[in-house]
Amino acid sequence: MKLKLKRSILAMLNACDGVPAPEIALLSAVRVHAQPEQPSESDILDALRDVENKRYAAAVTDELTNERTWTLTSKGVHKAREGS
Amino acid sequence: MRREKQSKLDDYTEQLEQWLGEEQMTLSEAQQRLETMGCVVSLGGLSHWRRSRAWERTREQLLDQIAEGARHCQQVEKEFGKNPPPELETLIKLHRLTILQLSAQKNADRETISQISALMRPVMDWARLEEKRKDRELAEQKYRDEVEAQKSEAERKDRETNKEGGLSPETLEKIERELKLM
Repeated sequence: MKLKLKRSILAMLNACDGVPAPEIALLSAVRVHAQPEQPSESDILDALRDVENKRYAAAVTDELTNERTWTLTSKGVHKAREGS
Repeated sequence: MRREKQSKLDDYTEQLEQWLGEEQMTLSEAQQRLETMGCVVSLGGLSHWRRSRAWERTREQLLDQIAEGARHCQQVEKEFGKNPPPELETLIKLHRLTILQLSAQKNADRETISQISALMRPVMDWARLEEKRKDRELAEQKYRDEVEAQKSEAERKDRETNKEGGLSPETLEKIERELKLM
């Protein structure tokens, strides 16, 4: 399932086309995208960490609002296109 | 990250969608039709393919919605680049318009409407914080003015004391010098 989740994360972020995706929105979108599987939030966060560790995506935290947003790196864009 | 394995039915996607969709054919009818085209598949396999295809369509729709949302965000940011960010009043007007448009739709989704209202809460919180900041700045300015006024008053009093009969440092020095001479 993790593989499928990682693919969903890349597809979601690729659809955002450079617009930073708030983490909360990303988690819920990935949950819908992964259906009929029903991944938990920790499953998705685990997959997201893997994606980050592979440098496919990067997160920025807003100091004021504490909101984390995600975007694909160039490497991630390449990977997402490869998988689509 | 490899893609999911291909199904032999993937080559017949277009026909199957037409048969099972527009033509409302049953699965058994579609199975027989496929057989005449040289593709033998079980009813279970066909049913599984149809479910997977439905999920695939849902995923495609979701991606399209997200892409559209992202484009909208980009457009808003581009506009903000040209013009200053909207004032609170503009945001309230926009909120009202969105709510009314949603309410006017058939089968208006109450949850969506309440979510949009919830989105306005941080804006209102921000406005309250701004008001508090203005009050604090005003109080700070008032305090600085008071301190300044007290300082000026003290200096003025000092000057007046020196004028009213007090000995100037020069006079005091002169007296001391004369006393030593005596």
